[in-house]
Amino acid sequence: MDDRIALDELVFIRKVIEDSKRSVVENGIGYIFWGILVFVGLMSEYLGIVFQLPTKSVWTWVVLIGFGWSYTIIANIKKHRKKPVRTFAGQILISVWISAGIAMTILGFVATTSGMIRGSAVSPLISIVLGVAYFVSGIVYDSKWVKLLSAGWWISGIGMFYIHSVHQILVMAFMMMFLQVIPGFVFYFNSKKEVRQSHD
Amino acid sequence: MNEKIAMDELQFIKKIIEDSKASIVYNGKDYIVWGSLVTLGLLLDYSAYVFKLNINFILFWSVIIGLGWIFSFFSYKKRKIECTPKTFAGKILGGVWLATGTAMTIVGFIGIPSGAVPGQSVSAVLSIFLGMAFMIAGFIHNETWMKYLSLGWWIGAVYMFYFPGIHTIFVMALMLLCFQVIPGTYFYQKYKKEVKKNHE
Repeated sequence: MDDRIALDELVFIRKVIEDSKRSVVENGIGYIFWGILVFVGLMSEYLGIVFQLPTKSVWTWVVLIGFGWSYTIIANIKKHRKKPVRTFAGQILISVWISAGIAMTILGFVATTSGMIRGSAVSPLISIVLGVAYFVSGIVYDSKWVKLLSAGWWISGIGMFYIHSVHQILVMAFMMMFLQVIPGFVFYFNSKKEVRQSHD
Repeated sequence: MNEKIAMDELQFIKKIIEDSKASIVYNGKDYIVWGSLVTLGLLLDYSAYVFKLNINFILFWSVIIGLGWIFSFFSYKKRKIECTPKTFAGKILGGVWLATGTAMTIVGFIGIPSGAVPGQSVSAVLSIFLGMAFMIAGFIHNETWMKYLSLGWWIGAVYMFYFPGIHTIFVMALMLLCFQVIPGTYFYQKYKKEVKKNHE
């Protein structure tokens, strides 16, 4: 191996490492999108119960979650076409959020329709699932504040286990706003800054 | 930069990659110990129901889960003393199981006593969390069969939700054996082979 080839190899390896680092900069859109979607669902369920509206909450959720999954699948296909090379960290993040999505879908639809889990247990269980997802994501991003969000989800999950009234839905809606949508915006602005910096 | 420095750099990078690969050769002991402990707990739980034994279930499971956590703690300490290099993949894997363990402990020790999660659906709920962990771990180990194990956990959870009863304790014990202890043994054998190869 001569000097030039060795240097080319090093430049290539460095580029791969830098690309890998850049691609794990989260743009936060997924967090914002899902957070708002679930917030809308929770608020419509809460208002439906409080004002005794004749809406079927199951169908609201089927439409919202169905829309969420369709959007996520299409967005990921598009992203994959644009950038077919996936980094290890990127793959792990996809697996974290897909598995969390499947876990939450089973809890929300299968567990409740089977009658084995009461509606009031769904929000705390979903909070605990989100705690796992945020903890692992925090390690992947190497970000302490993302890891701390998991503590927020777990503590709110524990609290919601003891709230047996309709107001639990409202608590979950606010958690969704504070621990998902707002962090999503933080990711979004950070990624904008990162893109601007890499263009300079 | 002359040829020697470039070669040194390349060798250093190669070594890091190889170290990273070697330390992700997982010994599977956690899978075997946790899987066996919980299987044993479930079988004793089942016997207590059948023979109508007067057992304090909270205390009983506290001992089982406590033993598991003590094992995990000491095995973490041992790895630290042995100065096993901490790779990115290893860190994520540790995080996945720490988060899943925390989540399952919350469900078992807070969800059930709070009355939100009925005792008979706890196996199904925990299967959902295990499915999540196995899917992420499958991506980390880059083992397709492991990703399929998560499907096994989720299908098992759906089955237990729709067909509840005392037999679900057996189903859960069987799933632990097939989807956790056996894969753990596979990892252990693979690890032994790898260690032997390194010594040769």
